[in-house]
Amino acid sequence: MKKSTIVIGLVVLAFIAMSLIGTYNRLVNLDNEVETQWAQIDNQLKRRADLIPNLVNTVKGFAAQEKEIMTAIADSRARLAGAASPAEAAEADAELTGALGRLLVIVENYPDLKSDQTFIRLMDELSGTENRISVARKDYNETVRDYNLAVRTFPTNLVAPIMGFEKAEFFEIAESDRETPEVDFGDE
Amino acid sequence: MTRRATSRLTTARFSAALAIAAMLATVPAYGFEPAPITGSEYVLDYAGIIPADVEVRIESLSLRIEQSTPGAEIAVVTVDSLEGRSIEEFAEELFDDLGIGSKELDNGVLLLVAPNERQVRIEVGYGLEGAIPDPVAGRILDNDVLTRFRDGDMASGIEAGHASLAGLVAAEYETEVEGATKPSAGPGMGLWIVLLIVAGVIGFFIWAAKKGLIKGGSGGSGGSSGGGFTPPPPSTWGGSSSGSSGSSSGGSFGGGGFGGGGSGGGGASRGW
Repeated sequence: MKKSTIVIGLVVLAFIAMSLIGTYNRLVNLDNEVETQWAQIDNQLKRRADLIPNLVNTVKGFAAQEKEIMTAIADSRARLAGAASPAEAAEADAELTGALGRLLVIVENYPDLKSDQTFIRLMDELSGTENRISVARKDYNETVRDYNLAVRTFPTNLVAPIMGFEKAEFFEIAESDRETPEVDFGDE
Repeated sequence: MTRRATSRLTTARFSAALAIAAMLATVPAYGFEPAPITGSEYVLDYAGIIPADVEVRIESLSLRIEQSTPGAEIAVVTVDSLEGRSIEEFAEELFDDLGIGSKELDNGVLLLVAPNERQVRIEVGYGLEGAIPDPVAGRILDNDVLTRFRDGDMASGIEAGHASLAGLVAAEYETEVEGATKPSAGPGMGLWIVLLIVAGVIGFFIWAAKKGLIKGGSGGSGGSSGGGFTPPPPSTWGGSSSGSSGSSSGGSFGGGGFGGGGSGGGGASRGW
């Protein structure tokens, strides 16, 4: 083989190796960013789940007969705690938010509960986490978008699977599953 | 000129330049970054509900706060309309657009009032979430702001809320600022002091009885003294404290002069 061919071959190989390294590092960075953003959301979701038992106890103290809504809240909390993926977590979180919304309507009938300091504090904390989740959701989904784009564009998509990078999941619920909270005004 | 002369001239110029640079470098270094005198940007009263004298008081308090702390900024904004969005969404975007609080510390607070939609919100920057947790923000709205709003006095409600926020910010940076409402120690404090005193007195009597100083009762096995009080478990306030700021899509608000801080969505809202 001619010397120049070998040299060219080596140069090409070196070039490929460097671009592979560059690609790998880029994917690692994006993946890391996704994980960091997810940690934000996960933090808030855990906080929500932690606040619920307190809330349930407080409400029981004033409105023990409202079993249906308390069960709904407890169930959504269990779903949230057991969610295994961002999409599942988003579903459970939306369910919990809906249930809490219904609770607020019900609480209108219990002025003692409504003015209880512990209850007010807990609801403030819960709506705080809700707000933080919606802020973090935007950041997270944007990051996922960037990451998925990187993983799927050519030629990165040829090597990404080999390197162990898969598409990340968005933190959002499908339109068809969006739950419309039923507001039951009871017997009036 | 000869080459020697020119080089001496160049050296002279060079030394002169060095000397000037050295002099400029010895400008006195402040312990903190002196805040720019902004004066008018803390209050953006688009809804026109704050009379001039109240606005001036609020602004000077915010200015004093910014100057006594590492750039903490408390802004007050009133708007005619929330443009169909929730006050949470609106406040978050507004906060990030204005960039309230210093960029490094994210120590900004926004008091947003939408009188036509009857919604008010306190939005707290990342850096102050420890000083102003969500329930505390809610309490300020309930006790300071809404009580006055319901009486029909929007301006004093805003001023009172602002003063309470200023008090919390000042306390966070361990400084005192004139006009800021000092945060109360809370009923818990006084109660525990009383309980401790009572426990001490009881303990004394039990000890005295054991020693036989007080007649009556067996001097044998004394009961356990005091210590049966467990303080309530510390509640963890606030959400996460790190992370990037929320995305902002160009708002139509001017109000420049803020330090570029961001909010993560902390705070509380109320309607009335």
